[in-house]
Amino acid sequence: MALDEYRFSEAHTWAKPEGDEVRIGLTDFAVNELGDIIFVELPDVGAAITADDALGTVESAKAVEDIVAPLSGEVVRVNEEVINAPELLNEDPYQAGWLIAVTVNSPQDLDELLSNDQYTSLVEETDEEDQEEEEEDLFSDDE
Amino acid sequence: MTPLPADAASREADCHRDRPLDPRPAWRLLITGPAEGAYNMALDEALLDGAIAGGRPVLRIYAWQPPAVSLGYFQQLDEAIDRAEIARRGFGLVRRPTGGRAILHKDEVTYSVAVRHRDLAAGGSLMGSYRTISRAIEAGLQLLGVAAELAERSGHAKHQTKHNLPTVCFAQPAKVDMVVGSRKIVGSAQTRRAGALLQHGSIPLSIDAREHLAVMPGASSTEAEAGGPQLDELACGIADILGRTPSFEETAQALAAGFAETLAIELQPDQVSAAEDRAARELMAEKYSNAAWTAKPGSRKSAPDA
Repeated sequence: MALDEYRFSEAHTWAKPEGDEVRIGLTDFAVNELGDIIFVELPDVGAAITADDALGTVESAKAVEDIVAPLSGEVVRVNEEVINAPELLNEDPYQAGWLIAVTVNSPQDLDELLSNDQYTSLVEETDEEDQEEEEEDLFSDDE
Repeated sequence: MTPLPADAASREADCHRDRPLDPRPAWRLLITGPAEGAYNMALDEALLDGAIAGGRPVLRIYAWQPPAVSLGYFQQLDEAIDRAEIARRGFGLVRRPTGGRAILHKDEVTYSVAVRHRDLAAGGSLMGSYRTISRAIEAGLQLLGVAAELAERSGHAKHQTKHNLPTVCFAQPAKVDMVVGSRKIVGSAQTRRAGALLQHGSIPLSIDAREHLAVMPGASSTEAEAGGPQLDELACGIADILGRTPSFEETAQALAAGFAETLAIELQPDQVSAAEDRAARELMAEKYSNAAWTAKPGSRKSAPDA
């Protein structure tokens, strides 16, 4: 799908402007790394979130991991469906699996996030490293 | 999710190239022995905070006194956990900072690893770190004479979703757990934060299925498969394999040797520092001894810093 309207953080979250709000979610790279997501914990409407701080947590394959806020703002909506059906994150991370919508403190913060092309390059570098790691594991298993 | 610095790949590649020439990386070895559940979880989180702050990686090996039931971070404290029976037996009840399902920690050796992702030679991805640490545990158990392997590799891993989770950790091997044959022998869980991870896990010396059933009625079967196999068919302890019960000290030393050899590290015996102990006691008061934290329901909304 086209992700030109999305902006990305190095912590694998996305932000997408929608009118006065910005929707936030996890990237497909993040959900693939995590595997099957079992639980999601999100802030309440009205809570303040701060860029680079945890806005919530996610659990999959027995690891609990922070969801890191891509920007600062106030939560105006929470995706209740994803709390009740966390598998939406695996199935459709950019649309049905959105997490929260916020009003941002500084709209220019969006410009400091990565473009789709920049984020894709970052992920490709990470994938190469993971592949090396997998190969190392295979060699270790053969020993 | 933790960002990967742009230069991380090249830095790690340098690290791999240099490894044979460098001295082995030094990790701290903390053999802390038995403690109550709230302190055990608080100290593990304090060690994670230390790793995030740049401290040396830590391997901690410990036990539980009194015995305690620990719940996964998101696990509901519901009727599958018999709180009255847990209290009647004088056991503790604590919620972990990590994922996974409930464990009765009684006759077991517990390990924890607190390390920055970059300090794990093979990297800190979720499955990569599990595989690395599992190989170390596998080597340690092998020294005792137990041939365990990662469930993912054995083909006995169960695919877990929100809808088929057992109450009890040892009722079902996830792909990151370790098994002997089809029986689970090590149950592990992680939390990941700010470029570091805490992984801890339970290695039973023996499993008393009847006692599990008494304190966790959900342990009667995998629930999703009523009439399915019972806990003692699904899980085992070291003594079940060896026909003898190794001591805590013997098991701890074997695990430490497995880590040192597999991760090519120097394990330096150390003590919990006064600052770590203080941080752990603060976390106990704030969370792990706090009934509100223990009762915290799973999959809910919360304030960002809750």
